[in-house]
Amino acid sequence: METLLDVAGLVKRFGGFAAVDGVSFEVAEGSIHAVIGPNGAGKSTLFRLLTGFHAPTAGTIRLAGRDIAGLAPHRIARLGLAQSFQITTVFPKLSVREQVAFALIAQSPTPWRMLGGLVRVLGGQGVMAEVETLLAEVGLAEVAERRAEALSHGDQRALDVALALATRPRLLLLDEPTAGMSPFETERMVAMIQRLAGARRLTVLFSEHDMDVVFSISERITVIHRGRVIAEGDAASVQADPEVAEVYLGSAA
Amino acid sequence: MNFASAAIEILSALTTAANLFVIAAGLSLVFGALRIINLAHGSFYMIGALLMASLFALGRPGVLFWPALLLAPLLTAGFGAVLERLLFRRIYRAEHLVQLLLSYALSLILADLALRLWGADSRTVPPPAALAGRLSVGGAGFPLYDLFVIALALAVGLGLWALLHRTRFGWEIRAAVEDPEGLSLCGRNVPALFTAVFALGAFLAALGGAAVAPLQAIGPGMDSSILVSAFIVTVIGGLGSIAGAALGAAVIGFVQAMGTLWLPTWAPAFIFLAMILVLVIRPSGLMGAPARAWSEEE
Amino acid sequence: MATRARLGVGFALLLLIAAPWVLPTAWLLVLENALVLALFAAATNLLVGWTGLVSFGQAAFYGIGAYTVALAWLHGIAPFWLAFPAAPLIAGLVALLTGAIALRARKLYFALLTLAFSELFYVLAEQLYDITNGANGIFGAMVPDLLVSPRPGFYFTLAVVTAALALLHRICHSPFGLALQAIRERRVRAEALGLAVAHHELAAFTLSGAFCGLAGALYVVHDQTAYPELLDWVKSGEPVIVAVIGGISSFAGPLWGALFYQIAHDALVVLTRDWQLVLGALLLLVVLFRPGGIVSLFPGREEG
Repeated sequence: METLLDVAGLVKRFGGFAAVDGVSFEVAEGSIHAVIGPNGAGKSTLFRLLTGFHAPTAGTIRLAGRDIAGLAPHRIARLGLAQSFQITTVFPKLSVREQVAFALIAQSPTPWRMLGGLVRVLGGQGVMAEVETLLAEVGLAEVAERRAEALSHGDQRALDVALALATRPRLLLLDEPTAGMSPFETERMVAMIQRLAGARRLTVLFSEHDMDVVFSISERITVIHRGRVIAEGDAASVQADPEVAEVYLGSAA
Repeated sequence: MNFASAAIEILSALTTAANLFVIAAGLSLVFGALRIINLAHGSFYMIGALLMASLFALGRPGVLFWPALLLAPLLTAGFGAVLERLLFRRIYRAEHLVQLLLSYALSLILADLALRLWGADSRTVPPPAALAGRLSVGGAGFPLYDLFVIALALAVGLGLWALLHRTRFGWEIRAAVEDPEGLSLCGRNVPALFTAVFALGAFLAALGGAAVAPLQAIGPGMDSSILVSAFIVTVIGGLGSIAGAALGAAVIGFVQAMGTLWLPTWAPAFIFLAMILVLVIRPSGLMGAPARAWSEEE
Repeated sequence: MATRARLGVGFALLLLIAAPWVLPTAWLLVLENALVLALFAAATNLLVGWTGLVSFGQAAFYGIGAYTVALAWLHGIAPFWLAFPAAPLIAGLVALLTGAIALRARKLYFALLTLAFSELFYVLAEQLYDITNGANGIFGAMVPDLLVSPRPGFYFTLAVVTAALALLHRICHSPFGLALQAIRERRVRAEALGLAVAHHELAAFTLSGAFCGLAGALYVVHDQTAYPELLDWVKSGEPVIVAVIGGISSFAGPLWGALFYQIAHDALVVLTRDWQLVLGALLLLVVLFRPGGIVSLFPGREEG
């Protein structure tokens, strides 16, 4: 399999503290890949480095061969890396349909095309058809007219994923996709991730606390502790790794 | 321009800066602790000055200067505490548009009420006899009262520093800024603390107004002119930082003095240019904490 | 636009067209003022309500629009019919340049930077005495006679304001307008979705400045004067207050706000000295108890 994302020697220091301290790993195209680690391991910082919200102190991030380290977030998004956020970050006062339409429109190259969008009325150029397809794909067709703030937590997360999908990503980054969800919602989310990976040939990189979810859908797992990779492999090998067990037991104690 | 007149010009700018620091320190303190933008801060300044003039006029000429200088800010602080309880308390967590508009609305109301109570005529307050003279150094005569205003600002600066860093009250304010829930869990009365901080801010604005009374005419309109200056000082220094307010006042005093010396008509423009320049280079002011791109969004 | 809203707009236009034949001249002038203020407030609301950028400096562009017409006349640079359309272009250009600087700061600091620019232009207008007549302002026959007489003047203002509002409405409800709302809601997320947020903010600032400049040029048509206070921060606060009183989250809000504000102002200034007190109290009540503004009092009405 081809490598889609290649992270090498990634470092992020805040003052003297290295939140990410020389992380290297690869994500194969078309795979579902998990990043796990106890609280404060550096996962959030790692994700922000990948999406461009932090600039790395050192190291490279290659997406399909191109170094994206330090690029602005919207440039990285354009190059095919989309993120769904841990804290729900949908647009609260816009309707579900409006914001998916927005996410699709946001893909047109700016600033020149933006001027074209000044007076054009919403609904042209087949965008709306694509909106409906996306809404159906994440199961939100029935609530399309509602404002996001009126949705359930599970639906908000689904909407967040729809927004990420609207950027037509090659790599989808999910930050704890099932955090705060009921068992039923979790099941729905897991099914959705698997469906998307299958139907869209999407590569998914996600962080997660729920180990059942991690071990059931991940093809590969990278374990991070104190800003470093301490183990990597499939579910069985990670579960068998003594260092991983110690880190998790240690942090649970 | 000879040395003597230049020296007096600089002293005069320094006096303005010193007084601006007192006012801006109140604005910055309130912003730092309560996270609100108070566009009615200039109103407290005006009320302080007007009360000073009224209290002063109660007694025989000159007798009540010192009592009025203390009492006017105290009364204004009490008034500020009432307003905090009635209004400002409701908007601590509101977005900044709400804060700006509520306090602006209040400043409109207070301007109108002040006009009703004190009338449109301007008043004057002479400096006390002891400070009415000039100190002559090298051929230049420095007005003693200007020196007093500068000394007062230094005292206020030191006092605030001691209050914030050497007393329990200061510790609680700083703790409340970090984590108000945590502090209230420790059994502290956080709302009362906030009222006190707001009253202290009003006190400082009114002290600036009362102290400036012998230097200029007192009347309506002095609220909005000082507000813009105080905001510039605070913003240049970094909102929420007392040391920043001092630095900002020094910068503005310096720019104003230089402007008055060389290009008098353009002095007001220089101040705005200075503010724009500082914010472009350091978007959070000289001593303000840089905004964290992440946290501001949530 | 929903059918009901279309009907409402059509009806309002009919009333406005009939106004010069029904209202006494004094009231016609009030209405004309309200139209100019409506454009000023709607243009400001493109920033405040749509993009979430609180600007306290829009009077700079309003004043630049007004001074464009007045200075062109004073120095014989260009005839009115050239200067008038140039006003929004020049105001827009200045907005582009100042916006590029002011938008480097965020939130409160942005508001204060726009305020500083407003005051800077105010000082310039006052100090460049040889060019602007300084604090005295510019008076004179800078507007063609035709537009000075009440009815043609009113129709001219009505036509320009209607066309400008129609264009602004279109912008607000275009993909671009949707992008601005997304920026207002969650800036970081909009950026993560690939939106060039900074470009959009600057475009919104420029457009808003241009429309404010047009409103300023219309003010000159109405009053035949330009003076420094048109650019200061008190004037900058006016469209923000009007928009908030009307309701910033709908397109119609600032328009209702302008009508209400102008009528209340002109009526109260005659009756009492305490216009500021009433305005302050009203603003206080709206901010505390009716954050949706006047339009939120009409049930079932969201967009206009």
